[in-house]
Order: sequence, then C-alpha cells, then structure tokens
Amino acid sequence: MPEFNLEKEIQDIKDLIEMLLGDVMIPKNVKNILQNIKVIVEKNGNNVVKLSEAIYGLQDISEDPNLPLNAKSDVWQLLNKLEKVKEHFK
Amino acid sequence: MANDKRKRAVVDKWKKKKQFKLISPKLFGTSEFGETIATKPEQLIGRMIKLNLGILTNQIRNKNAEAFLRISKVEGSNAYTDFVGFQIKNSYLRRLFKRKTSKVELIENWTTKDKLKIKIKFVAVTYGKQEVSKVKAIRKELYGFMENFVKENSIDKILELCLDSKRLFSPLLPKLKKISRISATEVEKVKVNYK
Repeated sequence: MPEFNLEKEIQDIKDLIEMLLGDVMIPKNVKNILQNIKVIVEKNGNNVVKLSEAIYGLQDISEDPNLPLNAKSDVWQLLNKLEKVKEHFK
Repeated sequence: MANDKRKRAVVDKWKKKKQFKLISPKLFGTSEFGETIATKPEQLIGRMIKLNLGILTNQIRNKNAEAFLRISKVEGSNAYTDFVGFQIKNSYLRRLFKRKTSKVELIENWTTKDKLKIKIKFVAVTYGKQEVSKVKAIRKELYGFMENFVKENSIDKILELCLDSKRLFSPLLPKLKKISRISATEVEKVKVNYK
C-alpha cells in the first residue's frame, strides 16, 4: 500500500478535474458541478463539510445517463480521492 | 510395443527461470516499477516493456498514454531500462475530434543537440472546419517552433517537456490563435533512436 500524500492527492484531483473540463464529450451541467468542486478543493480543501458537499454533488453526476462511460470511471476515481482527503481531515 | 516406451526425464523449464527487477530510467527517478523473468541475463537485453505512462511518472494527467521501455543492461538482479518513447492511446485521441473540426498532423525526424535522432508526431485540433490555407499555416508554425526547440535542447529536456504538452505549447498557442481557434494540441507519439 503506498503512503498517503496529501499534496499529491490534491494535485491529482486538480489534474483529473482539468482533464474532465477539457473533454468535449462531457455535458455542461456536469462541467458546472466540476468547476464548483475545483473551487472548493482550492479554497476550502481542509473543510470536511465543504468536501462532503462536493462528494454528494459528484455522486449525483455519476448516475447521469448523458455522461460517457470513460468519463464515468474518471468521476469514480475522483470520488475515491476526495473521500481519502476527507478521511484525512476527519 | 508398449514395453519399449522409456521414461523420459521431465525438466521443468519454469523452475530454471529467475526474477529480475525492472529499474526505470534516470528521467523517472531510477525506481523499481516491476519484475520480469528469464533463465539467463543475456536474454533480457533488448526486451521491450509497455506500461501506462501515468504509473511510470506517478502523475495522473499522463494516464492516457503508454510508455515503451527497452532493457539495456543487467547488473545482478536489476535490469536497467532506456526510455524509447510513448504513444497516446487511440481511445483518448478519438475523443479529441468530432464532426466539424479540422485535424492538423505533423510527423518529423529531428536531430537533437546531443546528436540523437528523435521522431515526434504532433496533432492539433481546431474549432470548426478550417480552410486548407489555414491548416497549412498552423502546420508551418508548429514546424518552425519545434525545429528551434529540438535543435536547442538536449534529449532529457525534450522528453521532459513532451510529457507535459501544456507547458511545451504555452509559448506557441498565442501565435496559433491568431490563425484559428485551437481546441487541443498534443504530442501524439515520441520515439528515440539511441543507436
């Protein structure tokens, strides 16, 4: 098991979000939610309540039928990383 | 007839094989990233290894590419590798373009400052279908930019920047935007010739 590295996890989250925002196949409503999550991670990365809010938002997107399958796996990966960060600050 | 059958000594070839650790090149921090097996160390030299670039560089933004490594020398149980190149996955590349876009490609062989031959393939995607004259203008800009870049830098610097295409193209994008709006610029494939 690799050790938990907070800086790397946050950098990975930002990279993943940026990759998803640059994808042309992703619908606008999903991109808006991702943009909000990016702001939360950048400004209130250590606030557990804000992080929970981001996670609930992502769970809603992951069930969106308009989301392509490749993006869905990325969203799940993002969820996993956000949960890790949240557990770290709990 | 049946009595003539002699018992043959069965040799298990797998028991003779040994494990070797794969060590990544200097560019990726000479760390262990996997294992391979062989009976003799000489058999390993020249063996190609294909793995996800994201795992090798430990950066998630590279997960859409595959890296190619070649074993160059073996010391004890360590097999040292050379970075041969990388290629973007077809599934990601096909997601970049859709209807009503123009795809500008450029494939070229260059010689670096330290006299190594390198082959790089670029791809740029525009917003909207463009005229042939604009496509040619974009290709010309790309060619000019890369020619200067490759001739002035050594192989390590080139590979480092090719892995981060955003940083590589940041000085070029304002010039391209004057010709046409660009949605994506990527380094699609890199191949280094160490001979």
